[in-house]
Amino acid sequence: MQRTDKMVIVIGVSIIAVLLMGQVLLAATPYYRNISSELNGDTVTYDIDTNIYSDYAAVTLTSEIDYGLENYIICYDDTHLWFTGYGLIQESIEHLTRFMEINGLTVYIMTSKEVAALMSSNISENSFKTGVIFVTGSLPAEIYGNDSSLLIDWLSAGGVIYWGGGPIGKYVSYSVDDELEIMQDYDLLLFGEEDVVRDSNSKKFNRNLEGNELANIMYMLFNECTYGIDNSSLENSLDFGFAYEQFKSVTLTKFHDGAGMIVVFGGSINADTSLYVMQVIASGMDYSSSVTDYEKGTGKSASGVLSINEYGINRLFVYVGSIQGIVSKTFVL
Amino acid sequence: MRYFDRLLDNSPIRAMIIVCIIGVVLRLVLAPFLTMQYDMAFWSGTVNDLASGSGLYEGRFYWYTPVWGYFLSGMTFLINGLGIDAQGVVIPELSDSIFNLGNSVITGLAFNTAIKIPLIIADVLVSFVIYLVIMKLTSDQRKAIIGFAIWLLCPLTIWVSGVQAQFDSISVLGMMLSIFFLLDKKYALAGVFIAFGTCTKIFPCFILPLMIAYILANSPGINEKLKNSAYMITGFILMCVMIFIIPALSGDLGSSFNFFSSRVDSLGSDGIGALRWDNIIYVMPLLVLFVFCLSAFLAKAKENIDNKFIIYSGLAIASLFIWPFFPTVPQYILVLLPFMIMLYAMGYNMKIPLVALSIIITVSVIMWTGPSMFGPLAAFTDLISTDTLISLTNGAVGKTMTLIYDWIEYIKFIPAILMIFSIYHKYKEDQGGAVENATYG
Repeated sequence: MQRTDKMVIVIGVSIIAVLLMGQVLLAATPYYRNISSELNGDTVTYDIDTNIYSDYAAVTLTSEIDYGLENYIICYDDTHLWFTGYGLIQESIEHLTRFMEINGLTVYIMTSKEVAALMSSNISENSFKTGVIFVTGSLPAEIYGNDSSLLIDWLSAGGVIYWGGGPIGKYVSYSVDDELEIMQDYDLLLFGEEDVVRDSNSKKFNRNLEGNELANIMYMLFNECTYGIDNSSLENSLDFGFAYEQFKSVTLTKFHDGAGMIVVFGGSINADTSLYVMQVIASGMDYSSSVTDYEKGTGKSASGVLSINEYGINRLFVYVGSIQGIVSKTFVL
Repeated sequence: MRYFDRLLDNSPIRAMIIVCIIGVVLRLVLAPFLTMQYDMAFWSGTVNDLASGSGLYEGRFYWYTPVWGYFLSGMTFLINGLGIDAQGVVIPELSDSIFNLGNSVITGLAFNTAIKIPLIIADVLVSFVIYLVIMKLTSDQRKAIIGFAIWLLCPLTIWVSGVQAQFDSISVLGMMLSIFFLLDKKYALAGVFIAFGTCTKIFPCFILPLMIAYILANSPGINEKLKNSAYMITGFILMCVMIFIIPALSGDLGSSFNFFSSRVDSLGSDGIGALRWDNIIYVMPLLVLFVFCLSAFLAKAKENIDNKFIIYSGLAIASLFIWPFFPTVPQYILVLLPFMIMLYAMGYNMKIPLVALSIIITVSVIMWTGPSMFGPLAAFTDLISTDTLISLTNGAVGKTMTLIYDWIEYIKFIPAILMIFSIYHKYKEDQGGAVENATYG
């Protein structure tokens, strides 16, 4: 065999070797992502041990309450006509589910009827451990609208919803053959105030990405304000600082007529933004959360000591990643 | 040029080494600082998704066949091992009206370089295989080195691997290896690598019927024809299995063909009169018929089979690019460049087609990329500011570049047309010479 033939065969074999190596690495997933913590009186030590080079943030949050959510439900079925398009709903469910599962959160998909049954059960048992997520842009008639006040009763009793994809409360979904119904005074119903929800379909974003301290610490970059909330007149409401005019991209608001909470993401929950929705959910934040202490950095491993508040409910949220997430973990302290 | 001429004659290997160094250095200089932001953001997203434990097709950013994914999988390991940041920074003002990671993430200098290393290596290997194939066809080392140099120093290949970070050169490498092995009568390996090239980017599949025809023409007797064809088909199948086995086992086989199926879904949707790249679907039956006709001619050939294979394969690939609306993205035409180079070495007048391709398509791809190519310079150096980048991208400069790109859509077919014309012109010349010889003995 000529020398040139041997050289070409070496090239060919090398290519196959590179392919095989890539396949092995893909199948073996050789990346470990360990996050741990240890409480020491009025401080907490965090430890990040990975073989992934990335940004990270560790933040202690203090809240006045603890919703103690243990699992999450995404409400969806194909028997309803929704405000958000089918393709985007599927994208939302696919990526939100993936991010939540990677970050150790338990999430199920339930139909509207099943969600209604869950809510009824929660009210009768006075136990609200399940957060309900809506990515459909409209609410199903089984729980909301002129024919049902179940959602309102559930929020009043202590339920938590996470919302995205449309103007919250405006549209009610019936079957696929029925048009969406528009609710009157939906702002008042959900927030106790008028003109809280931005009522326009023209897409708006905070283009400068100038969030507040919380957003910057957590790398929370959800900046769409199309269906944002004007929380300036709302008591017990938290946002991340991204706004278009007075409408905020993400708000966490105590239900005006009870113990529950409404978390609104003012735009599409899609492949890009699902990560940021997951962060808010995974961190266990609520409308009363505030930053007590934090550290940020870059590297594969890190550890540090953060202070906690002697009063209130303390949480440690550790997030590996920045614009793009790797993993996160929350510790209730 | 005179120095290079003298070097070619006196120290051909040194000439190759110098060309190689120049080609690699040019790419390495550009690699960190200029990028096709959209594609780099997607590679960054894929790397981060893999590190977070997602499969190749579970994440948000990867929808090609798995070949480049396997390279990215290896790069993910290396990048994290070397401590290279794969996150990048966000400049949301770059993303039209919608905050979209693909449009607004600028990746870091080290990451840009790392991702392009396999592509730069592929470019060097393609050049080398072009050199070897030309040596096989012509036994002329000078021509072979010129061919080596044309690929490595062509502005389009420098751009695609050094700036854009697209992996067309990996597909071309597979195709060129298959051609080498075919001419060397190693049919199983030819099948392996044409499968590799096709499964990376589909265009090399257009020479597959011609490869079978070559085998038929070169194999005496029906048993040899069947045996050699079987070798090639077996090699092809084995490589396909190797490439797609992981997606198949993980239930992602459909997703691994997404790139093709998503294109087919939208094909011809605006009607044949629309100037859209996907109108290629209307002419595809013609192109397939054309390729099979060429294959039939080749299968019956009795002499100059190697040369005819190169000519007919060049025609087959060129037929894809003679339409005003194709290629949709400029780098696809890279698959035609080796044939222009090989035909040039075989005595065809390819200077004008080569120059046309280098200028028209390179300008097209630069205009298509737009001022956002300077993203890393703005984000990570003091050479230009972020505000300057934003105003260039969203202002008159960006709009003008988009306009120029739109105009070039109408003339992108010229290099392929010129190539076909050159082949036809030489064919007529040769026919005229044959008639003369016949007349005057």
